[in-house]
Amino acid sequence: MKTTFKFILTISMLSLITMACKKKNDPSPENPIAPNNDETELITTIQLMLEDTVTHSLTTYQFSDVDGVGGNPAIYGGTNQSDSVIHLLQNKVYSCRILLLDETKNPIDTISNEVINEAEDHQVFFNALNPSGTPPSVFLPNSMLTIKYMDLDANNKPLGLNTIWQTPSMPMNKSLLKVELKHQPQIKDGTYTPGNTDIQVEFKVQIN
Amino acid sequence: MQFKIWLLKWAITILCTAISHSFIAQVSLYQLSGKVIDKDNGEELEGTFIILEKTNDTKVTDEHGRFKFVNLEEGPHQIIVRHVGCRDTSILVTLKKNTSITIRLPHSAVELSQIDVMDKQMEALKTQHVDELSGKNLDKTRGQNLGDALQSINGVTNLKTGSSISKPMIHGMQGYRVLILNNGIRQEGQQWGNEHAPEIDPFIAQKLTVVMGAQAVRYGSDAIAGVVLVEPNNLPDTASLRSELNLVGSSNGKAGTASGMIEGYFDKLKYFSWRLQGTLKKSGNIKTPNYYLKNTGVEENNFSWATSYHRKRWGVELFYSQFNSKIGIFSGAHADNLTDLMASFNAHKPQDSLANFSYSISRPYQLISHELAKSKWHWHIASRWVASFQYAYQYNIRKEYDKHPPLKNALAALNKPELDYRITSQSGELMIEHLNIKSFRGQMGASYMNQQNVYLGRFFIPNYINNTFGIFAIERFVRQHIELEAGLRYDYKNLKSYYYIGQQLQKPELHFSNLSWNMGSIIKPNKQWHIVINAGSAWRAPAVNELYSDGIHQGLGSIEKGNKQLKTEQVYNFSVASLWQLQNLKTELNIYHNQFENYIYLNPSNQTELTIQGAYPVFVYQQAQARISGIDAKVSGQLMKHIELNSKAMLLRGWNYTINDYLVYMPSDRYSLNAKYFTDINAMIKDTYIELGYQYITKQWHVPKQSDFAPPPQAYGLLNAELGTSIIFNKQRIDISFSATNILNTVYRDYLDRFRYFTDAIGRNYTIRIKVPLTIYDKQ
Repeated sequence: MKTTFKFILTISMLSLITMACKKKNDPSPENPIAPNNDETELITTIQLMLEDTVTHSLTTYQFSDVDGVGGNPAIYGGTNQSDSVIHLLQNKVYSCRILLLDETKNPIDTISNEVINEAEDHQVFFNALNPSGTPPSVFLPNSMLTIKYMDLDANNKPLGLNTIWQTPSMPMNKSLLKVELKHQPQIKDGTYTPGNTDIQVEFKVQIN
Repeated sequence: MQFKIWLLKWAITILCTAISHSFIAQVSLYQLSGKVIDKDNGEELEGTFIILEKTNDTKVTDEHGRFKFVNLEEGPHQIIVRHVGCRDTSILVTLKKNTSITIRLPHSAVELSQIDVMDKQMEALKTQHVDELSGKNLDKTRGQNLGDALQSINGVTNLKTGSSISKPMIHGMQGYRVLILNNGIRQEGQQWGNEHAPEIDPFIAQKLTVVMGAQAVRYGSDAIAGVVLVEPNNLPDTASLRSELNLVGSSNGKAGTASGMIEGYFDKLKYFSWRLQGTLKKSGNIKTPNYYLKNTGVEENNFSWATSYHRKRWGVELFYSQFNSKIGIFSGAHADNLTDLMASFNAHKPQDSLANFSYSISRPYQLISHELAKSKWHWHIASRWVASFQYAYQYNIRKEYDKHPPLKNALAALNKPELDYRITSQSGELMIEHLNIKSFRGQMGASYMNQQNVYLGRFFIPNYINNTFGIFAIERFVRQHIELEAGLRYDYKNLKSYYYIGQQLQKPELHFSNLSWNMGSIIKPNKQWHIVINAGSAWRAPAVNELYSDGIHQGLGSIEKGNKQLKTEQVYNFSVASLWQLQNLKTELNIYHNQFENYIYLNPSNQTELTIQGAYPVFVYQQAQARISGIDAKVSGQLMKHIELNSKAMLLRGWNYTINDYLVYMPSDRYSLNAKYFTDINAMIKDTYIELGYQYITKQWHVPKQSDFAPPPQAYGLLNAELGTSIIFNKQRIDISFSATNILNTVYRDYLDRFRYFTDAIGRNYTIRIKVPLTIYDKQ
């Protein structure tokens, strides 16, 4: 009887040990991961760098939410900018480069480089319009702005991080300019409908 | 006097017998009386339940262990003998004359090895409405997840995320308010998410019981809505070796499930019993009536083992289970912001709907693993007094992979989950129970739990350490016509959370404490009628997500914000259940009312928050005065000899007094009707049945204004059928069934399914189930 008991005790102990075998090396709850060194990817900032192609004067327009969703609210603000309005002059040609940043990282991470690497799966849209023609371009009727896509992916589909903006020859009141980056893995066809939204920021454009 | 009554009874019996004889020629009525004694010491056992299986007529033995049934038909009667501390014993008595029997319960011998039986009988408060799934009814749900299996119980619905994730809801309440006990242990996972299903393999259970109404006193103050008990069979206590094999195959999703169990008790190793159990499951893309849904496969592998060792005065039990699953989330059911969501909702066909089937699971998906280890000791400290101590350890990993991998290739190559939570829970419970002492039985105890949660990925809820301490006592008074019950519990909870705002570490600490109580009674005016009345109060401390969550709810285009000001949620509930049986007609009616103070819910605030992904509607946790009340009704009857009819209705209303509007996400009214024809074909083909069922789910009209992204879907009805039989070949029994659900391939969407914004629900599905119980040897 004693041996039986010992046998069972041994089995029980062994099983307890096997249960405890799965060693957990999780961090302690008292030290949560600080926001600036987690390994998740965050796009905090979109910058529109508008350069007058003649004078080469550069103005940056920006929307940023540096602590991500929640916490402090997101704000608009770049050089000479306090709200969502982009000021352009009539009869001008601007080149526009779009930068996407992760400002929680140190040094700041330029996510738009990754978008360029995955150009076949992404496209920037303006006011949800489908670009057409060569080079692919869209016309925004409310601001009379023409935007030409200057970058193409390996499949000759437009990307839109690099565009040329042609302003009309008259002043126009403020109107909506919705900039969207869509993620269209294996379904990119140059149109707005497929895929999900990576970025959606509403600016306004005013032509003086 | 006694003799006169006895004489009168006999006179009536004889008269009745004579009358019945004159009307129904062949049926004779007899009396069955008897006595229950302890096999070992000859003690007369008072308070033993003697149940006639056919009619559920129940007698309780008197102080001399005696019972008596009168007016029983000639022929065989199956009798169940139930005594606290003993396993139910079934006896077949064939009546040809008035019969007196003596039942010798192997009381002490069984009592020692059956501590868990005693627990089961004692655990749930008895004076609550209880419904269970076991035997054939449980077999019918094999292959389904726990939530879906429970849905066949009236009063239980599911909060679903497509067809692979179901979270059980009791009377419209879910999440923290529903407690799931996995083999006696509170299941502790990441309960805060609506798309976080319970991490339990339903094949562990031989019985699923739902206790409706607050169970706070016994299990902890937060069991406001009720408790789901996932109960395995008792381990064998006589020399034997048994196994069971279950195979399930389904057409929709081309799903296959195999589950096996083997258990034994060796002759040479007395007092030691053991069981091993495991399940493998794989399913692929689900098909709605018109299209396949991409990435809706599920893979699961689970196993468990249990051992027990029982001596005369003490025993110990060990249980370990592991649940591992990978659940694909339909990739078309994903909206990054409101624009996407509206586009999905208005689309004729969802994005990522496919023409072809596949088993492959890619992003987005969930990877879940849950470990539970339990040990339980008990001692018979005195005659009829038992003390027990239980310790449990649980570790849960939940990894959720977003639809989009990181844009950075280096990061994407690591393939890390975006959401990664690890929760460790340790709990201990000390309890002292006493069996019948002058019609009283009861239990008192103390419990403690320490829980730690950490996140490794993106922040959604903070890290926390949660300590809960409770003490409770429950007493029951049991007589033949009435049972009374009262319980009281005190809980203290301490919640320390850790999270960052900007670069600043926040360490709020909260304390909660309160009383829960419960009072109830079962009244049995006669053998056909039971009335169960219950009243109680329970409370729940706000959970960490309700307090501090802050971020995008992935896939639904909304921002959820916790509310640090939340107070304790308190409920007062009242229920009356009536169970009435007249020959072959059985009715059950359960009326309940839950009055809430500070009911916590997610309320749409009328503002949006600008994010780089667009404008998101903001939902904030709030509290309100509220009520949830309703009726569950069930009528079943046997028509002629071979036909059984079953009908159910569930009606529920939720109201928010603070905003004077309905409560959001309440189940709509539903009705079902089932007809079953059953027969034995011959000695080899038995228990053959064919069943047809129709379920009608009404449209949820009772929704608050502006609380949802889209209006509730239309009402729908589903037609189901099943054909089954048992084949007995060389004494070996094999159960086979074939079922078809949604036969008409009805296109529908359910209000409580989160995927309703994106896609139709699952279409027609054929399932074949085979169950092979195999007794390798049995000394008895």
